[in-house]
Amino acid sequence: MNPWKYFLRFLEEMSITVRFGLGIGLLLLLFVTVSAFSYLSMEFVTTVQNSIETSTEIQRLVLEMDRGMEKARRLHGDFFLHYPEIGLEKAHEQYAQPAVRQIAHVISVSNELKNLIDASKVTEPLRKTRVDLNLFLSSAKRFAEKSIQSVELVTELAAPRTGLEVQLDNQYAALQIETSNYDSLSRLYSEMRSFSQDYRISRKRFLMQSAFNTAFKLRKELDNSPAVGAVQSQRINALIDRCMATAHKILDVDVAIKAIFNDFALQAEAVDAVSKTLVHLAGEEVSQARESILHAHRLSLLLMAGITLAGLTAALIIARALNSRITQRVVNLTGTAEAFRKGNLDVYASEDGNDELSLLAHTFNVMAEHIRELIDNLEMKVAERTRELSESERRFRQLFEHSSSGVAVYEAVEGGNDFVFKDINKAVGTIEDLDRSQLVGRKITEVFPAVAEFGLLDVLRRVLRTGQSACHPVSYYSDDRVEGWREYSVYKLPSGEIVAVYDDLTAWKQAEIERKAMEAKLQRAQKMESIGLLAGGVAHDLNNILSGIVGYPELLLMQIPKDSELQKPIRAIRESGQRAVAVVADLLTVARGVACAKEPARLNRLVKEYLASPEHHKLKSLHAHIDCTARLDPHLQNIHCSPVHVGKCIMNLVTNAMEAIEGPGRVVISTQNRILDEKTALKHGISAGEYAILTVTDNGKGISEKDLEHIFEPFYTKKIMGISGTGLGLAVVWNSVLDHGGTVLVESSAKGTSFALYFPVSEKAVAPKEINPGIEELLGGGEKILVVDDEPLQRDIASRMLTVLGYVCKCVDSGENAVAYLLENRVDMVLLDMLMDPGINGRQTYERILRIRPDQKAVIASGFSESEEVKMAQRLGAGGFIKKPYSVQELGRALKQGLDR
Amino acid sequence: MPKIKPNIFYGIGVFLFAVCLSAGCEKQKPRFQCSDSIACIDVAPGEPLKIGVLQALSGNVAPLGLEQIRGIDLAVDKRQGKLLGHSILLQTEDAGCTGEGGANAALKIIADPQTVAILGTTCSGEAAGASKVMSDAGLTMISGNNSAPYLTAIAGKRAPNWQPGYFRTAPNEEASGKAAADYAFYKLGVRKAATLNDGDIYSRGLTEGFEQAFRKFGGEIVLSALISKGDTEMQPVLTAVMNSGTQLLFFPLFQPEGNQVLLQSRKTAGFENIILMSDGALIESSFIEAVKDQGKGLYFVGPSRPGGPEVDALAKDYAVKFNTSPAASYYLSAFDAADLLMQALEKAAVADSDGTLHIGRQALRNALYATRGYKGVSGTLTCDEFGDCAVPVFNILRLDEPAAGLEGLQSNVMFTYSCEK
Repeated sequence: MNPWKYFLRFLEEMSITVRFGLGIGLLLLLFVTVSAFSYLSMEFVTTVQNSIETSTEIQRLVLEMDRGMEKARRLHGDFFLHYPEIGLEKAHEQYAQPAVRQIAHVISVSNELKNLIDASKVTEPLRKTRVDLNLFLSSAKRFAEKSIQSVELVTELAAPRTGLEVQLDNQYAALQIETSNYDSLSRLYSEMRSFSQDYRISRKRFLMQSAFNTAFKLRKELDNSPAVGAVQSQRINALIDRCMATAHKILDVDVAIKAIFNDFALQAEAVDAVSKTLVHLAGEEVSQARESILHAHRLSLLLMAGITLAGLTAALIIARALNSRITQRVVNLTGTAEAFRKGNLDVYASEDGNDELSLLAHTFNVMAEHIRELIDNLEMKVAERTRELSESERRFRQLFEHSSSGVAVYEAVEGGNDFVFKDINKAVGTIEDLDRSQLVGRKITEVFPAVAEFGLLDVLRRVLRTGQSACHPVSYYSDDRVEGWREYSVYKLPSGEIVAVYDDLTAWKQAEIERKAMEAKLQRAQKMESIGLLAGGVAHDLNNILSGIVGYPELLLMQIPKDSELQKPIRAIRESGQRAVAVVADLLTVARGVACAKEPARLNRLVKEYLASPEHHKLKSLHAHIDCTARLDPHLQNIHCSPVHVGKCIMNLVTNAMEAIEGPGRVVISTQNRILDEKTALKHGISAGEYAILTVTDNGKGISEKDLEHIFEPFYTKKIMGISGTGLGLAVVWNSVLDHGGTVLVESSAKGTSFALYFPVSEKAVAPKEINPGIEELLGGGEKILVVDDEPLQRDIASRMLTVLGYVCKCVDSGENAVAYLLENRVDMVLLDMLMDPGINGRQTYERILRIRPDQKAVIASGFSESEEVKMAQRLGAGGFIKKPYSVQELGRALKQGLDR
Repeated sequence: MPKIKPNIFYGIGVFLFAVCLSAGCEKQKPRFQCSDSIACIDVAPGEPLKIGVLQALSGNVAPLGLEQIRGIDLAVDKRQGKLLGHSILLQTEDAGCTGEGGANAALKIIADPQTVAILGTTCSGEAAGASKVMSDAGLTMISGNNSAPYLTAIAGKRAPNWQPGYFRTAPNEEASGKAAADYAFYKLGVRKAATLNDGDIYSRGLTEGFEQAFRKFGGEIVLSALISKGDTEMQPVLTAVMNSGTQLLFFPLFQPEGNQVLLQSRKTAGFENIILMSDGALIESSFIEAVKDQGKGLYFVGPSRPGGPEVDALAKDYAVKFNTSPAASYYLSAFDAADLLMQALEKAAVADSDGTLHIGRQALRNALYATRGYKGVSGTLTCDEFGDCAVPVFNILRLDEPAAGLEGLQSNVMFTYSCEK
């Protein structure tokens, strides 16, 4: 990737923070740059101005130094130039001393200059001139030194009176005097002096050497001049020596002076160059400084312009970058968010780039997506919830409305003393038989005036007060308009409203009564079952036993004369036997229900039959002081009943009533018709309809409440068992009435007891009372009767009675034998015992007989009431049923009816 | 930054911690404290080591100065132009072979306080002026050519122009005059001798040495003449020589005065019988070329020419570098002077922790004074308290075949004089 693309990508991927940081950093950098640049510019200008001042000062000092040096050299030169003319002293004063002062000043200036350069910030070239300045200073010092030396040498050379030149002149003068007298010597002297003079003019050493050579010649001439005296010659030689010595000194001084001049020349060469350099550099420094200022100004302007431009550009770029990369995107994002807020859920934020805004946009989009999903879900959920709520509402409304329980919502009024119906469900209307409009908005006490007595008002108040839910148990409400069994459950809503959920338990109550009756019945049935099991077995045996006791006396009475003494005891035996049979019959009634057949009957007649019966007469005789009256409704409707049992009921009740009265009293037997409505019927646990009511009322001591619960139970008696009764009397009454679909109502108090027997009326007419035929009409015509009984006694009695009745009798002791007999023989009738042990019973026997003799007639004989087995046998075709023990008449009637079918 | 996100404060913290740690851990070397009795020169890293070169680079003596320069260059080349990690910067000034020239040139050199030492001069006269300037400034100067006794010691005592910090690898020619006198008196049988000098301390020193020895041997100095530098007219002085009746003229001069004396003497009648003897300043090819056959029979007294493989190798380097043969053998002593100086600088310099080089001016002098048995190309050098480092061994040469050039001259050794003898 090329660097530019990489840079662009870097910029693109730069985070907002970095971008802001970079932008602000750039701006800050620009600001700092501008500030720094301004400061540096000012500093630079100040420095340059200082530099100019310094340079100017340096220039001034350099020029002063240069001029001073020049002046010193000129003065020094003037000294050498003018001292021969104006004299050494004056020249010394006019030129040498000012020259030295001047050079001292130059040294001072050069020192100052050096310090200035050292202290100031001059350019490097000028700073490097410190070396030159050192040289200048050294040269100046050397100049001063050499200048003084030169002045000294000049002084040595040219000092008036003492100077070497004066000395030489004097010596030459002396020599001239000494040689003046000798031409050759004088000529050589002149030559020598001439060379010396030439030397003094030209300062050419060889001239002095020539003078020395001439002196050599002079000496030689002197040696060769005898005219010259020894002394004079010696004087001349001495003068020549002095001249040469002075000349040598002059030469040496000249050499020294020349060296110094040479020195000066070298110094000048060095110093001039330095001066020139310094002047040039100082000028350069000044012009450079000025140039620098100009340059700085230009550069400042350019840079300022550049920086401003760069700053503006950077600011624009930053602003644009921030605008495009941040502001615009923030605006877009804000717009997107605003649109989203306003409900446009389909908007999406742009996610270009990798910075925080992209991340924010991405986050926004993710959130928006989530929100969309949530909203979608929410809408779905709302719809679902609404639907559910609606469903729930509907369900609850249905629950409320269709609840079988009445639901009433109350609002407390009058400080919680009364309650107004706020809402009710349909069940309330149904239960209370009122429209909604008749309830809602009305006070409970107005609608149900007996509510306080009913107890509900207190419950409502208590729930309102405590907030604790409460139940009002099953109670009976009744007012002028409505009545019934109700059970309430009351609770308080958070809103403060009171809700009463209640049920109309009237039906349930009826059912409950029925259930209780059923339970009682079942209890009794169970009890009777057990008694029946006991009694059944006993009764079977007893009936068999009693068959002898009842059967044989009857046969005997038929055989003995009517006036026989045996008549009475045999009759007594027969009656005892018959009473025993009645007891067994009661026992069986209680145990197995009324086994006898029912028929339409007039209850009044049955009462009358009882009142006319020996039993009643006997009872009356026993309770002579008790008045027994009958108040019979002449319009009493017929009932469908077992007259025997109803008669027994009347007898038992009257007997009990009589026995309940200690001393004189009254027993009233009354009958009446009554139509029971549903409510009343329900109350009594019987069906609504018309009933014929038999009421036996006494004014005895009454029955205790505790005893009332048990009086209909078998063997429950307050009498002494075995003396006054069997304990089966009221049990027979109860079972007989219930067996007839009626009920027994007992009311008892200290004033007496009343038993009301409710019998459903029957539309059927009562058949005319059969007149029992005489024995003669019951006699058979020699038909063959097969007696099947496992009891030998029973077979014997049956055989004897059949014989009496004119039938041909054949007896077998079991069903199997009966079947075997009939395989080979024909009989007209089979007298079939129901229970035989062991072997097959009467029904099974009859079934087998029918297989071989399908038209075989049969009469079932049984010690029990008509059992299921008996009924099945009768359905198979057995025409008659005779209950054991039977009399001759009963047997004759049963056979007659069976044979006539 | 995120991210740490690394943030700037963490970076600054780490940086500061590192700085503190490094500051705490760094073994702070003590800054160099100059304890030199004169002063120290501080050569910052990257700055050159400045060495002043004062040589006679103008006039007829320029070839001698050039030889010195070349010898110095070869020594610098030996170290690839660097010393103690610094480049060597030579500031060369022409001293003009005069005292004032030397002095003024020295002023130029010492004007730069960074100058560590001076290599020079060519002429002893230059040195007379320069050494005082140099010495006063605390510098050290070492010459490969100065031989005037005045500069160091005369008769085992401090000479008038001796200056502290002045050294030379050229021999003290106090013995040179002696050698010439010895040869003149004993070998040549000369009993009368004239001397001619130009007032320069070299020239004067030699003539004075000669005169003292000659007189000591029993000879007579019939003339002690002087010329001035720059003189061209020699007839008067030659006349004086002639007049002196001398058998030998000892004229230790430089070019061109020496040339003029020789040439003009050849044209002077009566000089045929006067033995001419000059000095080492004229043992130089340009002189031979200048005088040619006129120089025949001229004696020279000068330092013996060093030899050996090192000399040959250096001569080869010389020839390679400068594409010519050496004009004289004095570049060897110049090479030794430069090398000795650089070796002394190496000993005296102290490198500071920041790379700055500190050179004590007195330390440098001491290092040179302590030189013992330095194996130079010009011989084994041992510096004495006066600054003389070379063992004076002089040869008397005679120019018999000018065409053979310098080599011919230097090979024609008539006599060798050694102080060790």
